[in-house]
Amino acid sequence: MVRSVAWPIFLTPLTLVATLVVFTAMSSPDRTVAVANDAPPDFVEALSTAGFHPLAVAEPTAAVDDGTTLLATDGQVVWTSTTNDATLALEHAVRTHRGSGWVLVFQRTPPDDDVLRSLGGLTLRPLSMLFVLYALVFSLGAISRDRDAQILDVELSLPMPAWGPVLARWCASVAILAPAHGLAVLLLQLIMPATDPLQFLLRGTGAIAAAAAVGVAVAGGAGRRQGFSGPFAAGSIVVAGAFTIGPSLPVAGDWLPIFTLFTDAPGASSLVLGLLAGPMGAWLHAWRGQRVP
Amino acid sequence: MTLPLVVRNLRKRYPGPHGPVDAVDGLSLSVAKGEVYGLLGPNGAGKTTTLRCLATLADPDAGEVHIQGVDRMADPLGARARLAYVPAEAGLPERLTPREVVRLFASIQGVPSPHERAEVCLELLSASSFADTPCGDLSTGMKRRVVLARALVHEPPLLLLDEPTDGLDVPGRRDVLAVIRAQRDAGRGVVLSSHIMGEVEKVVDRVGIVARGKLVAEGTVEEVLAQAGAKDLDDAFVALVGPDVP
Repeated sequence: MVRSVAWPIFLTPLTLVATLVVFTAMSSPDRTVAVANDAPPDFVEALSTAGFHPLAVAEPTAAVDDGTTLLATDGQVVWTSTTNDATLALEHAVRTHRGSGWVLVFQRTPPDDDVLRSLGGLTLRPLSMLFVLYALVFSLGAISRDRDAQILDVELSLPMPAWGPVLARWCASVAILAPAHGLAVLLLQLIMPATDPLQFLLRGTGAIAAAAAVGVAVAGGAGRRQGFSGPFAAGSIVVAGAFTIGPSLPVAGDWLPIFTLFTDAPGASSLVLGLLAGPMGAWLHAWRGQRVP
Repeated sequence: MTLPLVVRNLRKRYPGPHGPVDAVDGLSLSVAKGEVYGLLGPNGAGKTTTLRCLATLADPDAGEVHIQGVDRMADPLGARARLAYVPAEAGLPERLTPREVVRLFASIQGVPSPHERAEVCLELLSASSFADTPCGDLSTGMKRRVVLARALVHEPPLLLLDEPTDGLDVPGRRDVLAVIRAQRDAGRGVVLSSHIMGEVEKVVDRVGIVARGKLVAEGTVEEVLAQAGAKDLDDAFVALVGPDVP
């Protein structure tokens, strides 16, 4: 179960790593150019100077057709199987070498930093939302599976407070999810930097702690052998409520974990409240658990 | 002398789809040292709910429960320290080995020298040979031995066993019943819940037959058979509560 619940959590950072790899590959496309064996040495030299890696072949067009290279030229025509910057740069090099009447000047306009950071922020919010759902599923799953297997019953009959085993599961959920979320935020920063990522991290961690607390709390009211889906529906409603209740609480809304994912409120207060929600959820579980069949 | 278990007028009511349901309705019983008490009845009669109330997993709505003289409501932690609850399912973490499970519970129970005590319990239950195999890979019978080793690790005065032979083959059932007899001989009180009446007849000292949360008959097997005018407990149950009563 741990594996089945844990893999989606780490899938998110892994997906971001893969995205990072693809972005890196796309930002430095292959600049190998197929040229004819008898291409003039000065033309080959010009291509090298322009940052290309000339590859002498019998038939340049065939090299592109069979995928040996992405680019080919005979000094007059450019053949390409891609549309990245390297194609435009090759056209520029060929025109310049031929003394063409006009030369394509490929000029990159650097994107606006504020716009990029704003986009980074917009992307971070749903990313943290994903982890909120993971937290609900993870903590609820940890309880419901062990309750169905009666592992929890045995633990609850030990001489310790009834909230103890539940709080342990909440702690485990947060301890696994918070670092995974932190890793995902870090990776997204590398792809799409956001302003003040620390606040996203704090708000996200607070939201994870709160959602895990909701998970353990709703599991307490589900009774024995009630499975996963019933309490998950109840937990989803509570989490969705937490997302939407903020606007009706103008002051407290800035502190509410989960809701603050959609605000720019300082993250420390929602983190503290999220961490406090854990013991409350465990206590609620213990209290409700004594009252249901 | 303090009895391992005294229950007086225990009541537990749950909300049901058609109104509140009295899962346990005024049940009273006691278990002496070295006595096996069979709590018998069909599925849904209230046996498991009774055991859950005794094991502090569910709060009764009314009544008194004393575990070795400790009031279960006033001092639940004290009561838990004096009992061991064995649910119908094994309740074993699949990735832990029996040795790890028994050591962990010995530590939580505050047993002096928990590792040594765990070895004693595993040996007692003939579980040493598979003590390092993950619990998920064990047969039902092996798991049941581990569960009992875990339950005995702190030498509780009271054992609460919910359907302890459920799912076991004949040798497994014989082993479990032998362990129960051994615990009786060691002076523990044992409450054994089961719906397989003919089987527990072999091990119990007294039985209580439960239907609709009420104790409808109680006594030695012979007394209950005489009360019902039956030749075995199955017939006695039908005679006492009818064929279709849960």
